[in-house]
Amino acid sequence: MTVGRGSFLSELVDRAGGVNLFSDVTASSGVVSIEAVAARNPDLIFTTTEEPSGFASRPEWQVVSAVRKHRFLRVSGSEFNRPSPRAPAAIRELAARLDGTMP
Amino acid sequence: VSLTRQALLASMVAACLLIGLSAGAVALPLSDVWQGLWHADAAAAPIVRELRAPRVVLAFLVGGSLGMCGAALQAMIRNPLAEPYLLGLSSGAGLGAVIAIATRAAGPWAIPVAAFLGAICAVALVYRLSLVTGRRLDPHVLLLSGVVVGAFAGALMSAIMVLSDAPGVRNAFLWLLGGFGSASWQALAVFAAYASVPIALLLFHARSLDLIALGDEPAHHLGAEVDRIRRSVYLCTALLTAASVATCGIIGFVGLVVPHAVRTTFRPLHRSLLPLVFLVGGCFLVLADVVSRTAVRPLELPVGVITALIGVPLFALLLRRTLR
Repeated sequence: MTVGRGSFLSELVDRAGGVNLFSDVTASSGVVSIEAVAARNPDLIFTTTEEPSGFASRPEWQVVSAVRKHRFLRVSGSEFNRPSPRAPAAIRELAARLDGTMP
Repeated sequence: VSLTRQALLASMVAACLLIGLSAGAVALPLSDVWQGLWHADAAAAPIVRELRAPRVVLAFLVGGSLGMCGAALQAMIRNPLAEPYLLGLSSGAGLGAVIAIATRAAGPWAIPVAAFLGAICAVALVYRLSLVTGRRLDPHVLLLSGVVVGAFAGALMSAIMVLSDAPGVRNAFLWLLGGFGSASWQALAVFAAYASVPIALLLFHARSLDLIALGDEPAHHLGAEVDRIRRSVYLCTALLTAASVATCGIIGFVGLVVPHAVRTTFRPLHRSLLPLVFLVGGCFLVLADVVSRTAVRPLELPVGVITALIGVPLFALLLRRTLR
């Protein structure tokens, strides 16, 4: 499951200076294969769950290099999953963390 | 089945598997697929070995199993419209699986068992409901009961998905539409473990299915233990359907389309119908999965959408023919 161009999260990432690799998906969310994720080779994977290790340790996910290198960015669901007055703060926080993690 | 036909079938299976390996989010040329299969350090090796190979093999085995379920059920009720999805088995199995996930009793080995219990309950309920009209089993009433029980199980499933807060349930919503997106070697091992016994048993019963297709009375006089075989066949189809639903969700109409296609092209007895249906069903679902992966890239369509788009028109056609 990934977020598409129409979603709030995708816009947040744009404004924080990131690129949503599935912005060609016009719906707000969609199902893509692991293979499609591997082909677009993300630098970072956003998760809102406690521990990404649930899928990160599965052998079939090791095809994605960000999973192999364990490059996950944990964001808080309450701030990032819905539009709210906290959105500007979320964008600032995200921009700072992206600067910190990108090589 | 003659030698040329065997060669034809073998090359059809090989072609379908290769198409399955080369198509996907990124189309790989056959030379890359070949390199990836045999050389661990080839660039395409991780995608071919870890993602596509288990997916294609799983789609093949599930397609074959669902096709065989359809053929066996059709012999049981002597009607070409019988099929695990239409008879409510798939939805019963789905309900069992969702209950297992929602109660966190999950784990890759527990979900198929829960799905099996769900499928058994569904088949018993469908059978009981269709006896209401009288002592003789009318296949059309049986189908109607199957659709009703399926709808009921579907409603319960949706309710559990909305109400449960177990983490796997949202994913359950995705795989209940049917798809091989979560295919892995582990999923394949689980499926093979649960499916191998019923597949072998159904093949073993193939001769008796030919007798039962003649009618209960003549089958009895020809030495078939009709009741015992019937119980065994229902158990096998429930177990096979459950294994399929637990690993890749509800995929309908494979058991309808494939036996029909095989019967019209080969006109075989059940002895050769069942193996043929297995091979053709496998190819059918591998190709349907290829369409589901490539039709709306980068998104995936649930493979159940594609089988239904093919299956429903065929169902309408067969229904007209059986009622005439």
